[in-house]
Amino acid sequence: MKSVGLVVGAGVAGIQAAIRLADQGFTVYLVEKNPSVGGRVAQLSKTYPELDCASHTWTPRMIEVSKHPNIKLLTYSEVKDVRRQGDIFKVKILKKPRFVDENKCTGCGVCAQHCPVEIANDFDERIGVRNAIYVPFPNAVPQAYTIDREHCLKCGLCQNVCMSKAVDFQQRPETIEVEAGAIIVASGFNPFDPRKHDEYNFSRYDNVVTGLTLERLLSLSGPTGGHVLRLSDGKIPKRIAFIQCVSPGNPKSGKIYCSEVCCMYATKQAELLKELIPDADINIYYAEPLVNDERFEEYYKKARTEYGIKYSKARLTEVVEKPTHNLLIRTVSESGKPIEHEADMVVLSTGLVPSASDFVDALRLKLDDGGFFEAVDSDSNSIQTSTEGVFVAGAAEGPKDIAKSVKQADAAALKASAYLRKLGEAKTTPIRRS
Amino acid sequence: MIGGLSEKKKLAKKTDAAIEAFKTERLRWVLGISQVGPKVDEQKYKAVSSKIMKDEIDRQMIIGEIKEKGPRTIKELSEATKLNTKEVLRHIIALRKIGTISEAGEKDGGYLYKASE
Amino acid sequence: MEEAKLEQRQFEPVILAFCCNWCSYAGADLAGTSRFEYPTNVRIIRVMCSGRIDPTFILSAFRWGADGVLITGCHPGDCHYVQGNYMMERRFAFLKEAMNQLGIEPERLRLEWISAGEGEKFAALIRDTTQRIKQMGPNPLKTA
Repeated sequence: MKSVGLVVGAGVAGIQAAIRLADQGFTVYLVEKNPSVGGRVAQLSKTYPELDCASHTWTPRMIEVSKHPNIKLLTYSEVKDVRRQGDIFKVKILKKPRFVDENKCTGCGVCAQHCPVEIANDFDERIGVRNAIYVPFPNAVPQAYTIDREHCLKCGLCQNVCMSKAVDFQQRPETIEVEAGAIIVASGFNPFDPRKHDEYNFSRYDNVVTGLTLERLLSLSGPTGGHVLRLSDGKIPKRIAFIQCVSPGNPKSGKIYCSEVCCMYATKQAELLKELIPDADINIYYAEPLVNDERFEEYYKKARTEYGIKYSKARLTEVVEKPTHNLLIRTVSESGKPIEHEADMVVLSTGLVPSASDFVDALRLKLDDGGFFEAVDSDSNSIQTSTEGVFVAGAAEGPKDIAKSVKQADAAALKASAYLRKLGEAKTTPIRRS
Repeated sequence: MIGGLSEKKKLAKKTDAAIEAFKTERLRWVLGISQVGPKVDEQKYKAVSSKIMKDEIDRQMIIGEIKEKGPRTIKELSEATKLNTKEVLRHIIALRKIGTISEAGEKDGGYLYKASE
Repeated sequence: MEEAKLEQRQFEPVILAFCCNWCSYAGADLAGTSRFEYPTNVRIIRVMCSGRIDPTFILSAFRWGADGVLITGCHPGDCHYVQGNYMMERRFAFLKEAMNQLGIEPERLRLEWISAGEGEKFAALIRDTTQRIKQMGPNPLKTA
């Protein structure tokens, strides 16, 4: 099957690459391990620098991948094994059982309304709740519910109330075998877990949150409807401190690697906070220099002058919690002066780390120092992996923002389609876009 | 015996909340689970059902307080129900999701929550 | 101290007994016809099955001042409606937990199986229950 491409991961890069490749006329298998496509962008409130609504931009593309005639979307599925046979990759994909028939489910949600089990949901960074039968977020694609087997009590109430008879406890995992000529890896990232670097005991303090948690609090569709409040007591925070460069240290050099996006997203969040809480006093503490991208110079300037956000170059030494659950931030300035500031809420701008993938070993792809898939191409696209026919795009290749991921996905799709055509006899019909 | 009187009032409120909790579909279904549907894991069931019962009683106390006194802040709800503010927030988030409660302005540095109609 | 003791001796608990029609009510009847004596603190409420007893009945009983609640039903396996008594048994565990959470002594609630032929057992049960509740004192929710 030389005119078939496989895209692993349906976040920004995966969606973009899949659509581009499918438009060229190739059949694309798009595999996503979560019940819905969308990846990390679905969790965002607004994107920088224009403060566009994230779901506004991306929901249409998410729907597109589910409806595109050349894309076979496999959600709640994982690539388990990849073997090379000549020019072809033989791929084994595990389709995990949802216990809900995707074809019958209309997404009406009556089942979840009645499900007695309530769990902290990962989508809202465990601040919000979902039921054992759930969709990860309201505009999930596909609009089919999934039963989380670990928490389900098998009480059968959802089955009772479902008017489409879509609940099926008899579902079993299914292995699907696919033959593909080219593979694009777009498995994205995870935010760095600050508990891994717990010198400052961040995980113990209720009012110390990660950037992604703040993103969910800022989201209108989030657990608090866009009302930012402290997790210890629901109070509106007035003094907010952002700590930048919360990232793993490079094991070789010891230096923390830069995730590129944190300075920008912290600035964005600070601006959104200022709009929500006009009398907020916001400080951004950074240890390494702010990311110097000419796209964003204006952005920082605006933040300082128009929004009154303060940036301080300082190294964090300690965060201490007071009985009020306020936080005492102790830093050392560039000149060596110790500074102490009290804040109502501290936001850790966590960096991006690779998202774990089972199939890394199967493909024997080279990884860089940070654990991301290493690109070996000589041009600046950085999409060719160490294995021929396997390309990489998006945060899977290294930390980057949405705009860069989209560009890289376009490049990867282009390279992949050229590669597939070279493999020969690619009789495909490109789709005309009007 | 003023202290005794207010203790009795608190207990009466809590018991009213418990009665309301046992009227909710969620708790009633969980109580009856072993009789219907596919096999249930007993251990898991015990753990989950105890939590559901406690949550429903606490939530009915919160709802009862709001219905009686009008829109309340998390601090006020915490004082009235003797639940800590973190717990109250957790319940507010859940009640918000199903539409029972919604924001109704700000007071004393926090948000006010009212019963949605 | 003397006053408290006096109060306790004068305290006559009000106990509600839910008895299922088929076994335990018949047992109560038998106690009556056999002239077994038991105190008058108990008010018997006949229900068709112990499974009919909604948890809200029991909580309401305590809410409005009952000092004790006794539930009697058929022995396991003998329920006229097959599963009713098992349902009650399951609810009973929950109610104990709920009472603990509220701060009402869970010992005020009691569940026993009485068959139609156990008249003496019924009488003994009432005597024992009344005694225990007397020891516990009045329900904290009792209205004067």
